[in-house]
Amino acid sequence: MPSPYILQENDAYSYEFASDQGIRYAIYFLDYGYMFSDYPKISQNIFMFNIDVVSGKPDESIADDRIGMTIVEVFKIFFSKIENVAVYVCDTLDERHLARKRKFDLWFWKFNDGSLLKEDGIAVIEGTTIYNSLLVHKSNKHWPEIVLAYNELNERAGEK
Amino acid sequence: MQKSTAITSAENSKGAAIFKKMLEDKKAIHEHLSKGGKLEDLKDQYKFAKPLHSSGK
Repeated sequence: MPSPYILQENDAYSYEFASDQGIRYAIYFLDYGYMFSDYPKISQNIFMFNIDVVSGKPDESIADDRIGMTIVEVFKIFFSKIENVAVYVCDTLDERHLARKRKFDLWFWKFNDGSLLKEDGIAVIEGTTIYNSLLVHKSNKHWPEIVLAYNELNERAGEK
Repeated sequence: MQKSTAITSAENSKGAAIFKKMLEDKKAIHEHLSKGGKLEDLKDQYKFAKPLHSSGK
């Protein structure tokens, strides 16, 4: 039975782990509370989640379920504070954003223990499609308001 | 569930600005890491959330 990779906390800003294929990843959260500045009850707890490659060549690696399991472990820690909310944005640098979204979706549905809600959004900005997802704990009493605000941001992202 | 009308037309571009900013931040951080930099080097430029310890402490 595969298990998550061991998380290292080399600094106060991120988690790191190394895969069996020798790729080092960093996972971090950035505070974007102002995203929901119209919703003061929740604006203190909204963060962008990201996973990035520190070293190695993920494009040359084979599928590795342990990475998804490790991400879910990080979410379990992150959401031990029930009020926390995470937003994941698939970057568009190399036109592989849809592939990233599918991978993130697969990891989530495969390993989520059912405690988190995931709301997907698509923002079309100046002709560019930005896939993004919102994660919120099911026990967060403000989740309807959070999802509503998030959906509005996506729907109106393309407006002038 | 009724939709809130709290977001006014003046704020309609807010979502675009936020998503753009997120992508810009990700790109800049990725480039920094690609060059061997540490996230700690960027602590004054970005508001990193201090993660809870995996031990739960």
